[in-house]
Parts: sequence; C-alpha cells; structure tokens
Amino acid sequence: MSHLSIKDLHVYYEGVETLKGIDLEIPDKSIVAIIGPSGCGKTTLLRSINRLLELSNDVKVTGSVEIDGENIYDPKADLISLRKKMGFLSQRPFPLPCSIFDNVAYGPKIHRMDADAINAVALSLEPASKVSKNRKEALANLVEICLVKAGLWDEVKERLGSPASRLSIGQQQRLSLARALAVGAEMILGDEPTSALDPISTKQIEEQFKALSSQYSIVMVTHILRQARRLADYVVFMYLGELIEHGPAEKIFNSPEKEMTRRYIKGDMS
Amino acid sequence: MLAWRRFVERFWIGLMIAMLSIAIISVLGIIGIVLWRGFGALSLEMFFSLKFSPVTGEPVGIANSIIGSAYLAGGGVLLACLISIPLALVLQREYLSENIITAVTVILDVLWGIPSIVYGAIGYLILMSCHQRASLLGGIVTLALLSVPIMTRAAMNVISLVPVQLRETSYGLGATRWETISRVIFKQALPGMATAIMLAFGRAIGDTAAVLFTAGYSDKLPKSIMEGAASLPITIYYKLMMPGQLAQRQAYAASFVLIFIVLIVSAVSRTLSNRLSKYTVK
Repeated sequence: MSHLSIKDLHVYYEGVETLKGIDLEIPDKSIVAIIGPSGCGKTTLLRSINRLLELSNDVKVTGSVEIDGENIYDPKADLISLRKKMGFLSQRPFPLPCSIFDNVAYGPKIHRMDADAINAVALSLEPASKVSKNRKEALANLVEICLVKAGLWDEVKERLGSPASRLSIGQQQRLSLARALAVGAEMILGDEPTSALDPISTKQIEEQFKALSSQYSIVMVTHILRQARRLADYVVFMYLGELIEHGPAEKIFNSPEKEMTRRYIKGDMS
Repeated sequence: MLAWRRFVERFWIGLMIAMLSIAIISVLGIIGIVLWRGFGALSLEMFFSLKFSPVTGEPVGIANSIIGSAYLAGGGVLLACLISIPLALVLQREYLSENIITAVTVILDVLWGIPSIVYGAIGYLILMSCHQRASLLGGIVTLALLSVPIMTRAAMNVISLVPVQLRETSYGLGATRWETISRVIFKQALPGMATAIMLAFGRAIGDTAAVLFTAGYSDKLPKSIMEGAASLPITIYYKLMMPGQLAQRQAYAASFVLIFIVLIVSAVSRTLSNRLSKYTVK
C-alpha cells in the first residue's frame, strides 16, 4: 500500500502554466474524485502522478509528487517500478494488440516476474488463491484472479485466446483494470474511466472500484458530479489549474467552505 | 437548389466511376495485350527450362530470368527489411528528437525520388572499385538500397497511425521504450508493414535500371552469389530488341510472367495483412 503526497506541483505546457502549485495528500484506501470544469487541470494532475505527462511535447514540471516519501520527479527515480505501482485507466480503453489472456499477462511478462512474484500478487488480490511453483500455471491463475476482480471473468473465460480488440468497450475498460491489477499495482488512476461507457458498463466499473477501494487507493478524474457523489470518499475540486478545495466527500458536497465549490456543486458553474 | 445538389452529387459519382473504369481498363488492357502478343510463346518449357532454339540458337526457356528475378528481388527486399524495419522503429519520438526525425525523413523522401538508374550507376561504381564483376550480390545490394527508402517511409507511416493511447497503455504498465516498441507498436503496425514489404518487392522485381549494370546477365542459373544473374525485366528488354517473331512473343510472355508474379505477391500481401491484423486494435 503506497501513500501519495503532492507538494507545490506546477506544470507548464508549451510555457503555459496549467497546474499552479498543487499541494495535496491523497488518503489511503479510498476513492478520491478529482472534479472541476473542463480545462481545469484534472487530467494533467492525474497524469503527473505516473509521469505519463512526459509523453507529450514541451512539458515542464516543478515541485514534487512523493510516493512513500520518494519523489518521483527526482532524476534518479525508477520510472518503471513507479509506473508499475500505479494502474492507469484512460478515458477510452485501449486493449493491447494481443489476446485477452496476453493483455492481462503483459505486465507480469515484461517485468519478468517469476512464479513467486506472480503468486505474491495473486495472494495480495485473493488470500485464498491457489499458488503454483510452475510459472505458467501461476500466471494463468493470476490472470483468472485479475479478471474475476475486474468483474470480467465470467464473460471471457471461454475465449481467453481471442483478440481483446473484439471485446465491447465496457469489457475493454474492465480488461484495463485487470491488466493493472496483474502487475501488482498499489494504486489505480482513472482518467474519466467511464466517460466512453454505457450506463451498464459504467455501473460495473463503479462496482469494481467500490470493491477494490478497501485494498487500493483509487484516484479518478470525473466530470460527472453524480458519479463523484456515488463513489468518492474524498473530493478534490479544481478550477483553472488551481486546487480550490479538498476534503471528505460528505463535507465537500454538503458544506463546502469556498463559494466557488458551492456554485460548481449546485450546477451554477460549468 | 435541391436539383443542383443532386446534379453535383451525380457529377462526382459519375467522375469517380469514370476514373475507376480508366484504371480497370488500363490494367485489363495491359494484361490483355501482353497475353495476346505473348500467348504463342507461353509454355511449360519456357518457364521451367533453359533450352535454346535448335534453329536460331536463341534461348527459349526463361527459367534463368524467373529464378534470377526471384533471387534478386527476394534477396534485395530481405536485406532492405533488415535495415528499414529497425530504422523505422528507431525513428520514433521515443528515441530521437523531432528535428532529427524530420531531417532523416526528408533524406529518405529524396532517396525515394532518385531514379533507379542512378542507384544502378552507384552500384556499378561500388562494384568497380571493389574489382568485382556484375553479380547476384551486386544486384541484391543495389535493389536493397533502392528499397530502403520506400520500405522505411511506408513503415514509418504505418507506425505513425498507431494510436498514442496504445503507447500510454504500455508505458502505464511500466514497460520500457523498447518493450513498448517491440511488443505493442510493432505488433499493431505489422499488417501495414507486410504491405510495405510487398510494395518494395513489387518495385524491386520490376526494376530494370538498377540491375542492368549490377547483376549483369547470364543464360544459366546462378550457382553462387558472385555470379551474374538474369532477370525478367532485362530479358524482356533484350528480347524486344531482337528481330524475329519468337523473341518478340517471348518478350510478351515474360512480361506476362512478371505481371503475374506482381499480382500474386499483391494477393499474398493482402491475405497476410488480414491474418496479421487479427489482434490489432481497430
């Protein structure tokens, strides 16, 4: 279980400051919803947590994002193990160009996880899970557990070898979740993970998030206030790159301190 | 107003049908003429033998040219693959700056535009400077040089179509740049790359100027890579220059073989591309 804290984080896209000094402690084992109107920097904040921001051109980041006290922006930080700790769900899920099984097994394979490491991830997800000394069996077992945890197993157990791209978009998003769990992620980051999904798929993802929040910190960006109300334990409200207010969901939704937060929650501002 | 819009709609559809018809008629026309002119010479003996005419002493069989062309184009494209695919994979933002990629792209585009006779001349100069005669190896290297820009640019275009989110997905799981490129980007781009390779093969097998000085010509099947080898385009050229009905007919029959090979390669590439795209993300 990792603890995340963000200190004086500034992000500049092509010289324009899009995050203006964010200070935030992310509570452990809870669902944190980042809300705010379009263009307020929600996604930038989320993508700065696993340094996916760097894939864009001309980005400058100052300040720190600390995971268990280690600054991920330290030039010596190990980007690979850092990203491994954080499962990432994008707005539109993208399955890897391989089978359903290989999508989930991708992480353990690239990280060259041996049978013991695979068993350890499986046990952390499901204490009653089978363990095997044989790497192949252990991997098959882990794939099953991850798919069960992501709520997808029953729908795909008969066709694990078929292309992941043939799944429906809702199934693909749950596959993304399973894929993230398989590397032993300790935190799940979701960038509006249900925005491309139909109501039933949305409900399924939300249910999985609820179930997983007892084990993981889940940080999700959402522009749907009702979703934040349904899911969040903790809410972060942003506006024009600034963190306006944050606190337990109940407090933010029922008695926000800032006028801007109140207006946003009442729907007077979008 | 509605009538005008309907007219414009019909006009463009009509224009498209007309253009499509021109394309189809051209292809069928070429195949038809080649078949009509060369039909008399088409025989199994021609394809599979190296026999000479007892009357004129002219070669009847073109097995040397078919095999020679297959070696030349196959070898050239294989060698070009070894250079082009890694080159296309490394010419990504992951490894190189935008400026370097643009500079290399411009160079490749210029190389693509250089006429093949220039490649042939350069290949010839290299052979001369190494005190070598025209050979299969010379032809293969020249065709590889000719194919590299085509294949690299086509592969780069295919790679650029890989959705950026696919890269993010892989990086998000802790993959390195090479793992992302080799296991995700390459797999996603593979069907397109198969087409790029076949495109290059089509150009290589039909090119005359590049192999004229470098591969030479031989009435026999090449036994070693250092021997000269015949090729279909040069055989067609020689036979067309010869007097006599048989040689002329054979030139067209050889042309038909060349067209047929290109058609087969194109069909294979389509099938291969479809097979390889089974797992790709649409």
